[in-house]
Amino acid sequence: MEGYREHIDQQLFEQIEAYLLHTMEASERYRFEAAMAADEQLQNEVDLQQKLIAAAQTAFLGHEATQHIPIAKSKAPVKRISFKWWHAAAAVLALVAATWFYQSKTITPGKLFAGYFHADPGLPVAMSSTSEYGFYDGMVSYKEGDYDKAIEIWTGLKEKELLTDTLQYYIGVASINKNDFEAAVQHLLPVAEGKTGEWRQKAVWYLALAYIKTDHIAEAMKWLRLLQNNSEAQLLIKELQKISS
Amino acid sequence: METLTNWSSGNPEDLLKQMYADNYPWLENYVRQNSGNDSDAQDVFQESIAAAWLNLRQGRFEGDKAQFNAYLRQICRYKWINQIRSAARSKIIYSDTLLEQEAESDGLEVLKDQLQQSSLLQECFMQLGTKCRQVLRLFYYKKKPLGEIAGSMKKV
Repeated sequence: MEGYREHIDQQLFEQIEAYLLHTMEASERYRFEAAMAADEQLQNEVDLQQKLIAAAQTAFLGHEATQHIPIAKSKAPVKRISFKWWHAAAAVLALVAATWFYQSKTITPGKLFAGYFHADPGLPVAMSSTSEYGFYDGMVSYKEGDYDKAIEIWTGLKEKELLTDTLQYYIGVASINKNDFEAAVQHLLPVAEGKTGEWRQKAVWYLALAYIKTDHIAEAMKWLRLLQNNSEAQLLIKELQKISS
Repeated sequence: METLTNWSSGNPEDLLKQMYADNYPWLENYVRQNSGNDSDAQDVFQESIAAAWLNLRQGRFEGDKAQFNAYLRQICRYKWINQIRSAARSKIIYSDTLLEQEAESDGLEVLKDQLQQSSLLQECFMQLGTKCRQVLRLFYYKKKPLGEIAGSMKKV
């Protein structure tokens, strides 16, 4: 295989494995990383072995996870139960099962929000840009999940008249991430109402989700209809129609 | 907040089961609602978690646990939408702004390659003999010491 060694001995294999499994001493690790930086083939070998280990770790997951669902086993001695009690217990169980089944099949705005919402991952942080330092400072907090701090920093920038769609949009999504839907609507709405703009489509999507979460279904559908080329938005409209019909 | 530095360095078995518990019920529901069944959901999850897990281990993913779950769900969605589109089981036209934006940042081609590689590796893995798989499972997944593995294999 091009880019790989023709032969890999056991010692090197174990070294790579120790590196990947973090069982290597710090000094040895440092030397190994220096060797990797100078040897592309070694780097490729490490990448390949990492892929193999990841495959081995995930190969059993679905099978094992479903098999390890704990099943309660009664250790109490078996007693004779009168038919009457058994009948009543069975009826209660059936009722519980039916209720659970009904509830699990019932679509609610909360369930739809949970199913369709995925947090915006944020922008890559560019540390070299001094003019936008404040924005990226807030982005670091956003990526760390400290949404309050991110909003505080970005709101400070707003007050300095640096109000942009980007800033509005990220204050909006940070507000959704912290479950402040009122603030989310307040910041996303002006961006979504814009005729053009880089953030408009995303703002419309998150605005609609904020409306769903706050039970404003008609409003959410109105915005989602603007996303005609977004298959996910179209699916969501169909789900919302089931709720509102 | 659970950052990845304290979250991703844990035992693979515990972490993967947690990821499964956090995301699989959502995926099963999503696939069922979009022309699929539980078996489809299992396949999609298996390939998607393999790709996401590798990126996490290689340090290509940066974020906390919640962001990782969102990232994994994005991959699952991408994988399933592509699958139903190629199988012509749905007339959904894949033009999802959000997925495209995600793909831009991560590189759509890279993601496609990763999913393909994950699928291939899983296939290869399943072609190994039972004992070989058992050794790999105990060592890499369960993190059992080699001595213990040797002992348990003698009993098989």
